[in-house]
Amino acid sequence: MPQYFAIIGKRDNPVYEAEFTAQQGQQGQVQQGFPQNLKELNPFILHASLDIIEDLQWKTNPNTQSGSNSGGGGGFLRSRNVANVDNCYLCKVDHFYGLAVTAYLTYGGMKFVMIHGNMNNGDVQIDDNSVRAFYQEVHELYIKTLMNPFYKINDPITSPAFDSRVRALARKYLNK
Amino acid sequence: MSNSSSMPAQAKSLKHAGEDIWKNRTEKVNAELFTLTYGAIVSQLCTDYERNFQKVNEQLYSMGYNIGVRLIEDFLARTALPRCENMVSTSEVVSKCAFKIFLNITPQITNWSHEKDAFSLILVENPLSDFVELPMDAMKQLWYSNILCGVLRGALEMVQLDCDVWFISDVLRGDPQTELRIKLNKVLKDEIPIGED
Amino acid sequence: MAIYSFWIFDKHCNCLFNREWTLAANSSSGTVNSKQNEETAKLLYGMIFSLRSITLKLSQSPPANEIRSISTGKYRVHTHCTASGMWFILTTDFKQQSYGQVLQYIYSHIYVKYITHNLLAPFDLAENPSETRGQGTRKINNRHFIAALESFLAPMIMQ
Repeated sequence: MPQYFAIIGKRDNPVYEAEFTAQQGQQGQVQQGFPQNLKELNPFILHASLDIIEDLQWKTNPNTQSGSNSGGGGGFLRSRNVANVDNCYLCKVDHFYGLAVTAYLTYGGMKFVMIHGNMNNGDVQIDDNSVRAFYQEVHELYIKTLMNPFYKINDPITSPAFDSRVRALARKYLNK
Repeated sequence: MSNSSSMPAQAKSLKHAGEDIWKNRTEKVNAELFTLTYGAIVSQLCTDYERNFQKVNEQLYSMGYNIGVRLIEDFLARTALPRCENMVSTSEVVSKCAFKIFLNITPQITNWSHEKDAFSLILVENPLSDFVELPMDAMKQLWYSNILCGVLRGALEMVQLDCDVWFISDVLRGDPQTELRIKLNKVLKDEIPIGED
Repeated sequence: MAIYSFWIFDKHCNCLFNREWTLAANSSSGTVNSKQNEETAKLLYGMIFSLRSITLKLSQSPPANEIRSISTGKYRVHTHCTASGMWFILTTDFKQQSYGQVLQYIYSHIYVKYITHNLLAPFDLAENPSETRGQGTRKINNRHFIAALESFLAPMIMQ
């Protein structure tokens, strides 16, 4: 199943976007991308879910909506008492005609959002653990990008190295 | 005591002295703070000079020079080393003591010229350039760590070694290794008071 | 044990600083930067300069044959020459064997700290060629430097 991933800056500006398809380049497999009409719609679907993310940001237990309470306890999402990055991951925040939207919010307020497509019109199953791992590693890559003195915060990320690393992570965690 | 037999022992003690000073007598600073501070300077210079990278290189070099002429006193105060007799021992001091004490790295010394007056330092790791990715327009022109050339030039000049120092390659530009070249022009003469010559 | 005076010369053969103590019992007695352009400074420099060039020639093999102290009937002159060409000189009475450590300390903990690391002060006091080769008249007047030097040497003066 394909995914559309984007990093949204603090002014709701796109910083980075990428589409991942299943097992690229393998023989005998058709490239399982989004259909063309959906491709054009993806950025709008993502932006529609930004409001929900901003609401969730200050909710006490962000995981209740998605139904799968994965260890995230009470307290504000940005609680000072919780030192781990676990509560950055917001699980599934929105859906759009069978597509699921997951999100991850960094402490600096950058939004990582992803649309999970479905192949055979069934419901999208999201493996929270691997999606979380994907987000966390992208978060680390993002921090490294931020440490580059030539990169300004909220600017689009154009580095090909960042792009290829993110795609490698997608192959590792999302499209096994 | 022949020169050749004393060399390895001397080089070994230099390495030891460098490590000891780094470990026990050097105040440390957070590596990220250091890298980000230098990065902020370079990227600000690129903006201020409107991405004229030739100018940025020159500016970094002269900033380095101003550091070097002072850093050498700091270095001598810590190590109490005498002047070197030749460039071979200079290279050992630069690599095993100076780089070790101030940056905690020990560059490899290679590519000696035939006359033993020029050598290269290979920087396997460069604490200045962690996290750095050069923008496309800077790839061909900017020597990101050019401050190091200035520092070496200034410091060596203060111990009467007039040297040219420049970068040959940099991994940031996509080269296989980071190579810094040091070439001795001449050994400067100590001044003598007027009336003594 | 008593210290009579302290001198700094730079690589341009200029006397950058001198401090003389006139009363052995009083560490605040004496003068600062009063004699550096007089004959005394030139004679002191000339003596060490000549002796140094002889000793360096006497032994060619490394390490360099540096002079550490010169003693006369009543005085002892202690010298510390750095690779960058700075000379730190202390004149004491005859009894004191070696002040090499003291001079090294003054260089590394007082001179480097207050003069070299003071980024806004010039690193080289000679501004043009007419101030080189012993003709310069500029002095170190940094009060932190002078205060640190005096308080470090005070116990040795009063002994």
